[in-house]
Amino acid sequence: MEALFYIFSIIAIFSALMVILVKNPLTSALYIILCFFALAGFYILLNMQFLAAMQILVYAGAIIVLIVLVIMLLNLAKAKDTIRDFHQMAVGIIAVLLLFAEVILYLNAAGESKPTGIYTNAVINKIGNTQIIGQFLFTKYVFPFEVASILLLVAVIGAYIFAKK
Amino acid sequence: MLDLAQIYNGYYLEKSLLSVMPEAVLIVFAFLILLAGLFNNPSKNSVNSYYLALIGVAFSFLYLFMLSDHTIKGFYGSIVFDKFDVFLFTAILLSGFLTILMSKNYFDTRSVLIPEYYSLVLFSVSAMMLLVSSINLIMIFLSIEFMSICAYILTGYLKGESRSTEAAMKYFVLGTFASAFLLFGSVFIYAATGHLSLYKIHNFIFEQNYNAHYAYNLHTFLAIGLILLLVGLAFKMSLFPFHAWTPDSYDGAPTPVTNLMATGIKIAAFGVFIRVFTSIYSFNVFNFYNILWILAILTMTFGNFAALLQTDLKRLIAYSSIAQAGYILIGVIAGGYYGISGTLFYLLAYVFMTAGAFAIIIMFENLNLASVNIKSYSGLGYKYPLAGAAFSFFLLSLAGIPVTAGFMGKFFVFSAAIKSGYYWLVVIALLNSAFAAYYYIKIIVKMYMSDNNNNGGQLNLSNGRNSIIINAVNTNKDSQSYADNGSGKTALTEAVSLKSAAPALIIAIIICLIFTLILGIFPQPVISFASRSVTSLWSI
Repeated sequence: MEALFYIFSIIAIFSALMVILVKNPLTSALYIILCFFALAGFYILLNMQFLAAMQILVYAGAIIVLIVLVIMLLNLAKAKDTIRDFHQMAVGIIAVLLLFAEVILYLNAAGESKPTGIYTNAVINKIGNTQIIGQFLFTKYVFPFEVASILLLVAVIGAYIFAKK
Repeated sequence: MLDLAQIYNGYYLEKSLLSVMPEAVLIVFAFLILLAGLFNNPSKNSVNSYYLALIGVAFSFLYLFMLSDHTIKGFYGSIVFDKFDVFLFTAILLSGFLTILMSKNYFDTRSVLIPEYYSLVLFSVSAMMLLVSSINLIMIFLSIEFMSICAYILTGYLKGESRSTEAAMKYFVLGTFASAFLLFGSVFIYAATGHLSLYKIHNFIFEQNYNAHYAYNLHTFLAIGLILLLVGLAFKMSLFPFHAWTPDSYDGAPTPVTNLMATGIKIAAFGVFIRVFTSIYSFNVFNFYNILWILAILTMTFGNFAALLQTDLKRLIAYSSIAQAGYILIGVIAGGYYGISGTLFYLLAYVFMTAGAFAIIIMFENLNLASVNIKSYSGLGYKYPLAGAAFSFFLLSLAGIPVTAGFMGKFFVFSAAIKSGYYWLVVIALLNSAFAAYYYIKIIVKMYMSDNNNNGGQLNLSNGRNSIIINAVNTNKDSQSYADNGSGKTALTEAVSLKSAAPALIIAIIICLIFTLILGIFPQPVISFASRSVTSLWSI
């Protein structure tokens, strides 16, 4: 299990880096798919098969298809030579290294941690994780769920406003 | 008065719904505006949606008033409606109301989609209210996103104007980045405590603090989480290192939207910050008081120095709003009963003075009397004594001169900080506000002192910008009277030319003036309202 976790992590980090490093937008869209698959792997390790399936169906299946379509419609073959600001890059690299060092320091100090919630693997397997998610969405988190729907509607209105000539 | 909470006492869902009633009303009206937009012709739509938006805000006020005595927790601890909300809802709704009043005149001359604009304003006001009343990390994240998405769209609302689009783009990219920080912080806090509800996190840390076997890993995860959460919220409050979006997006956005961002979003961000701060940060897990202390000083000083260099009025107010955020933060740092109620008072005062200043800028912009460039304001104080005096009053209030709301706000916040023992912080803040007075008064000096004796009349006749006033006045004789300014005729010409300004705008300015004055000379009712609302905060 632990080995799988590290493999998925390495794939996820590598593909996420490649998304922003490759020049061709189509290739970076494909790397996003890889990243989402690695994340789906995490969900399976956490016994959340339903979420993993949704992750692949919704993100890799639907959203990335949209992104690829847009890239094809806009005919973005390759990003033009972007201006490289070395000053900005240096500051960015220093900030990232500092943050990284901080995280390493903290995580070393943190030591072992145990799950504190009541939904352990055994409980999840007994009830079934689709049922748990459904229950939570319609009881405890029903209001955030509704707010999310209004949020998406507002985003659609925004897209309409910006797209309308 | 019909007591809704009493009627629905036994029904759980109805009670939950009551806790979001003021927001729900706004969302319903936002949908109504969108629906009404389908059926009418465009010119009718713009009027209809304007009135519908005003009615929506009025209904929301009504529900707020009807529920104001109750504390209602709803939706399994996602949302709470308490006295703290009542105060901040009042401030946010006022900000939304003033924004809608200002928008009518501003957007009538521009070709944009009107019904959608008003519905988005209502959506964003309701999002701010949701943010203030959320007591759950998921709800906080969702409502911040909801509020931000509305703000991104509204910022870029002037299509075809590259500055507006650029502002929206910058705001969007940086805002998404800040949201990621906020989410990441929430995850760490969840990992450390195992709870999402602020109340439960509060209890958890409280118990752990008295636990002899205090787990070190809890401490570190919590500290990382709190720092990241602070970054996310500081972005919305536009504190110093996270302020970079503020000047650009304030400058590029349509001016009424700038007003909404400067008042409403700031209030909502500070409201949620006070809630999170009093429930989690006040345990001082990671010396947060020191971090905030430094942030406040940096924010004030940077905002004031940068404002000094601006030639664009909207940018100047953007930087000054960064500095104001620093002053407001002092109240939060001072904490306790006095600190928080002073902060709330300052936030309400800030709504009126900022909205008033923006209303006057919009009026001058609409009548083509002045652009947002400060230079174009020279001599306006003589030509339009009333508007000039009102603008000076708002600027003096922002600077914190006595007899204004801004002075009382600063007074409450600083005295609370002194009570808590932050002497040096107050000394630096006082130096800063003395420094800030310089650039506010510089604008007033520009309006009154410049030598428009020499070329005033010439400017009026030759400059195409002023053709509208000349049309309004319609006689050459009157326009000549600009040249010999200071005479009684100027008041007449002002009355004539201001008649072409929308009545809604004038109403907004008068409301702001009255309240800025009342809060300045008679703050007692409002500060007692604020302190009553603070009492509900300690038992989230």
